Amino acid sequence: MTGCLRTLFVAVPVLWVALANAGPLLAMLRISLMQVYPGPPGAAPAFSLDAYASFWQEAGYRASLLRSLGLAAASTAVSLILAYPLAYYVARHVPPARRGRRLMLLIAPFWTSEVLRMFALVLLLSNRGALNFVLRWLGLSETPVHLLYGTGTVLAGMVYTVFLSMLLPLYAAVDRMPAHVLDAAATLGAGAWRRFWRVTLPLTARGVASGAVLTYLSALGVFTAAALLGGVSTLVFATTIADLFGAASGRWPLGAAFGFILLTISTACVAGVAALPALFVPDDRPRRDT
Amino acid sequence: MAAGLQTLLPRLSRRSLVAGGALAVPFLRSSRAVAAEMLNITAYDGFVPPDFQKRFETETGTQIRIRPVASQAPELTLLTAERDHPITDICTVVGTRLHQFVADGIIEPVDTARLKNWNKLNPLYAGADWNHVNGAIMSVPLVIGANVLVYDIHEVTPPPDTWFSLFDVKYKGRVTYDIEDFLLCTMLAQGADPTFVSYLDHPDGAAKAVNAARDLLIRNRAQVVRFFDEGSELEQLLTGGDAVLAQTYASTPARLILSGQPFRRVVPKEGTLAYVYTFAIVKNAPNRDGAYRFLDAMLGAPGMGATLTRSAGYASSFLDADQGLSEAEQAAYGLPKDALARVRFPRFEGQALSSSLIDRAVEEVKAG
Repeated sequence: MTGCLRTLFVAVPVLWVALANAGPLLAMLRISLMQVYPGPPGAAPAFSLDAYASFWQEAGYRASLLRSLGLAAASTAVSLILAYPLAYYVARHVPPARRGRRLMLLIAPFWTSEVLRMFALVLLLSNRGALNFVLRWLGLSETPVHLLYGTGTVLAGMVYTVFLSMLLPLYAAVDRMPAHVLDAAATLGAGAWRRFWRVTLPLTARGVASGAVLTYLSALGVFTAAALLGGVSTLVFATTIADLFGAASGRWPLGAAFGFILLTISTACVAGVAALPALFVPDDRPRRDT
Repeated sequence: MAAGLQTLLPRLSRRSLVAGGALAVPFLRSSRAVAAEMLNITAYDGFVPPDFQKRFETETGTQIRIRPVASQAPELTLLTAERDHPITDICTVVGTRLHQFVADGIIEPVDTARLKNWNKLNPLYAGADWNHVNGAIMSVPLVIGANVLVYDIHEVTPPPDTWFSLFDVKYKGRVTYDIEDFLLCTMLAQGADPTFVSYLDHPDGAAKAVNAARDLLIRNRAQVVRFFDEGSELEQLLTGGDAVLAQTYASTPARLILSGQPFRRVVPKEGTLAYVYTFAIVKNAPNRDGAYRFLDAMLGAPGMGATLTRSAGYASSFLDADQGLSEAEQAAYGLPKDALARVRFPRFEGQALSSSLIDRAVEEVKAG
């Protein structure tokens, strides 16, 4: 009976992963290889690599992928710059009793829908929005300042979307850092910057790496920010894929193929970043003396 | 694992299965009974007016189950997935996508002899060419969305009267449009045939016309603040002051005008392309009789034209379309008689050629 229960305990999650993850992926892989989808009723599907070839034939598709990669990198960098001091402050300077509440305050906005948060940004930044109202009221501008629908707005929206993916791993890394090593460095005469570069950063590098991977992958797939805040020159790969699925004209094989191209790039990114700490960052895990 | 399942299955079959089966029988019977009185409809928001739905349900005992859809792509996907065993009786088809619903075997011709109120429809729509496939009528027209120019009366002077006003450098960075629809409107303004019927014998001419419109859009991308897909995006662009001039067939401008916002709509002098939203009967619909009863009741309901206009946000295809609408509502939703003469409808025969060229051109405009 124990063996049977153990089998069930393993079988249920395996089945879930197979059905919820592998199943749709395999279905999409099949569609990406189909020449026409949906095919005519009763006809056997024909398969080809045409959809994958289209990616290399069209400069526009490659441009939107490159834009996505660039924006994802930029939003990862901006998130890191914003989240690191915040994580450090909460983990090192807020008394432990209040830490939970502070973290909740930071996380609370993310409990609302992503679409809602993006629309809030639209209301804030539009020509007749709150920010332009304040600028006019202060006499800083007589005509509306165009803040929306540019690369900067999309970047801001992406950072707003993926910020938590950076903050939480960083907080965990800073929180785990032993306080006495900083005290020891200070006692030995290291200044604030030196302590940061030589002690804090190396000891939290794994958190930075995890946060960067999570943030970059999330940013690569961000759709809402690009769709709602983007303009004519900010087309990203996620919106290209969504457009292909939304065209209602048999463009699903192309959309599915592009999804797989993005998945391959994401996997390569994870593999690449996962290899980085082993090369550059000292292992901060406790070692057993031999 | 196999051993584990083997030890479990005999227990299930002896006790639980018998008990579960006994419990399931009345459920299955009741669900089959309910299914006979059920009518499944995929519809856009407001296409089944709530008051009419309640009345129909009370009078006929049929329960209407509406599956809301916002655009043709997801609806087409859903119905294609169910094609072999349909659970939907009536679906919403926009005139431009009729060919796909027919080609994919999703809808069947409408037997107008079973609709005694068919004559309540305006013959302009009821007997239209675009609604005929091999001599059969394919759908019941409900409302019409005509492409119009929408402009902010304080910012756009003089009022625009041509599709080319969207390329005016005066409005740089303050123009918005739906690429697919505006591409067709641009073709119309350039003197090409946006129905594609005249190109059926020489597709090269169609490609040339589409490319000319596409190139004009690409050359004037600087005028565009953003391309929109949904009416809600257009509403935000207009009310936020980020766009002052737009092309659209969405119902959004009518609502804005009626709420007192400083916008007006106009059919340009070159004419326009209009899309008819229809209800069609799903091929092998499980409740085909109920579907005909519902459609006939809808066509025959007094004041349905005005009711549909208010709930769906578009001019209706009924003969009494304007009856019951205020002057302001008529101005916001309707099409003036002189404009009606300049309206063209996408044709079934040209849609496959159109799709093969337009979708690619849209991507190229987006990519710049």
